[in-house]
Amino acid sequence: MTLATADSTHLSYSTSGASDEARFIASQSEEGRRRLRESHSLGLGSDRAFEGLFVVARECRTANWDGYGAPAIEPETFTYAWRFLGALPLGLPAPSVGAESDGHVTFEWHRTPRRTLSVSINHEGNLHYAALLGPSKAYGTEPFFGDLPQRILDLIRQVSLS
Amino acid sequence: VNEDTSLPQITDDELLARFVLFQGWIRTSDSTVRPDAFVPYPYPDLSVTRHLGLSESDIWQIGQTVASSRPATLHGRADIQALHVKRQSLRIVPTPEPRNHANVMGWPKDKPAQKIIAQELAAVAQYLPNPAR
Repeated sequence: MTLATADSTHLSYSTSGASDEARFIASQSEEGRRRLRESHSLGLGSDRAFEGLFVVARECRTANWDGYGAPAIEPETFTYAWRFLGALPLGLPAPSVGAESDGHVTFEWHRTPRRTLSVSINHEGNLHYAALLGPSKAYGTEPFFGDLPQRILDLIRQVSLS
Repeated sequence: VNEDTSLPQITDDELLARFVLFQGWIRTSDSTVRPDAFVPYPYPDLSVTRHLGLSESDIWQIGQTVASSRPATLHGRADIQALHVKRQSLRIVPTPEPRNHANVMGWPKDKPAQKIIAQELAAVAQYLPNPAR
């Protein structure tokens, strides 16, 4: 995937090496997902999440954006974050987007102070997650290869839907 | 780490302020602080300001000084009781400069362990917006 600009509201994708059929299926699939995301009943705010990601990318594009010496968010981190949002299954609530001082982009599903999940993604595509679930807690790291890891999907559902 | 024993040591009921200079650290839904604000960087320290002996206007003035030196906007601050920090097996180490400054130390190295502590801190922190904004 090629990122056009960090300020752009559009991204361009490269599918070099893929067949015409594969490109057609990919474009139709993405178009279908886009239309569903725009639907109020199924989108559950995912467009707002993409907008939030652009706002964070813009505000964190220069070092020291937090006042404590944070590095700028790297383009690779933004790209992984974009792909993460795009991989969220329809029907799940969209997260709010933020950033940590080490330059990771964060996604948060928050209901109460003790029913909350934060997932951060870095320039290598590692997903670090931490959740408070009443008296218990869960945290760890999962790789991101384009699909959301089952562990993180389960936590999103636990925090948001149960 | 050499700790300055001439500085007043931190009691459990003392309040610590974490200044918020990034809008994205505040939840717009309920005006609370996100755990992102408590992730230590540069590792291994998290910078805080002690309330000890300061008036409200003194605390905001320190925050404004921090913001102006960047320069950045002072959106608010997250206050947390020292006891909650110590419960996470962290240490609060006062520093001579700047005024009332302290570092929260003893963080684990791995990121998920840092994040879960940051969530525990955010869960008990009180966010106060900058009254001058």
